[in-house]
Amino acid sequence: MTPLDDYQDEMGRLTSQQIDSIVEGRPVEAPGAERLEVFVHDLRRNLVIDPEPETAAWHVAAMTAAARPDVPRLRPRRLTTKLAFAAALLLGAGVATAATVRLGDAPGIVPDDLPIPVRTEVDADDQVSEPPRTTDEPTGDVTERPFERDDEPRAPSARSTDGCAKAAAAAGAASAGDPCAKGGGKGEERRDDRGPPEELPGPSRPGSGRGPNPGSGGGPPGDVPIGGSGASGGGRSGGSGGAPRDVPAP
Amino acid sequence: MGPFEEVLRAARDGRERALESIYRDLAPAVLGYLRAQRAAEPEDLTSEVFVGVVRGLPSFSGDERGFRSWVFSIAHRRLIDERRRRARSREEPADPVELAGGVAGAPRGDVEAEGLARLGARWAAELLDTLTEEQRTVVLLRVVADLSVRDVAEITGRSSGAVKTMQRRAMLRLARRIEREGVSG
Repeated sequence: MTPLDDYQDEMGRLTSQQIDSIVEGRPVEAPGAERLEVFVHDLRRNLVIDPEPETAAWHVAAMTAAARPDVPRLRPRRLTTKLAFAAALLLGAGVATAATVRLGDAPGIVPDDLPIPVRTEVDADDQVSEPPRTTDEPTGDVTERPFERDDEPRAPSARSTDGCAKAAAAAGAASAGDPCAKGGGKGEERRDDRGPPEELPGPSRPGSGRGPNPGSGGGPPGDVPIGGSGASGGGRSGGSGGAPRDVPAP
Repeated sequence: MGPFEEVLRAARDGRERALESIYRDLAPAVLGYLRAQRAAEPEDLTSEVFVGVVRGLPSFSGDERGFRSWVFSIAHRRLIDERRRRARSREEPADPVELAGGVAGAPRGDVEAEGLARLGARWAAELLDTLTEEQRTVVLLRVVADLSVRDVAEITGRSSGAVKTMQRRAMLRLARRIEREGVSG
């Protein structure tokens, strides 16, 4: 028989009443009881311990706050930590948003609400059908002047409506049974809308070389400019390309 | 009127000194009970227990022993609630030693005392782990909370005889474990 068996035998002989007394810390006169008394004492000593001073102060403050309705309630530390973390996150998000808005105002960065310039595509036929004008001509109509580079940033509302008006006029002509409108090309159709050809201030055909201001291009009238864009300017813009082939530039 | 009744009346009036007296008297055992039961946040749970005690003071009637039993009944209910919450969120149970159970009782900065306290807490935790949950609850309520068999029976919802039987089996198992390992706190 081992000592362990002896001990278990002794313990087995302890009554419930004696174990009760041992658990409650009262001395019991019985074999094997002393070891259990030591165990109970050690268990109590190791588990019943004072809270840390900071923890105790926090708990008492929470109790006081709960006892007095006028004192604001103290939340558990875990909840307070979570709330603080959430507040920090919100603050960070707010700062980031504010910084983004401020950066949007800085020069060099395009704000979101800036109107996007839309360039209306102009067909070559439209340009052909436009009556050429000299710089001497007072037009009086801003919307009728040819496309210039300065117009680029503007919102092209006027030009867009002009295109619509042209389209509406073309549709009206087609519905009126105009033979030219039906069978002719696009350019001729437009030309008919704008009136008879003799009313035009000058020829608009490419390479015609004639214009109301023939000397402005630097070449003699009737000469075909080599470098000029004859398709777009007629006599007016035909001379702007440079000197004629046979004549040296002054 | 005895000293306990005076403290109780002052605590009902919200006097901080009375509340602190109640806390100093019962908090070590409540905290030890919750730690030994492996509560996830024993300090926070202790705070919840005593806040619950303060709120329930107007409805309490009884003597000092009854007050102690009432406080531990609140602690036990809070512990069960916490376990349910933890089961829902699938949190791991806390290590009572790592929760500084032994360190808190030791003098701060005394490494040797902290080490001994930690060893003691580890020893107690390992011994209690050999018990079933019901046996552990009975032993802790009897030894740490210092409650009577009848109080433990009320808190656990069992008869006094069942509590005595569980207590006897638990103590015998612990004694065998101590004798086999030859260790003690």
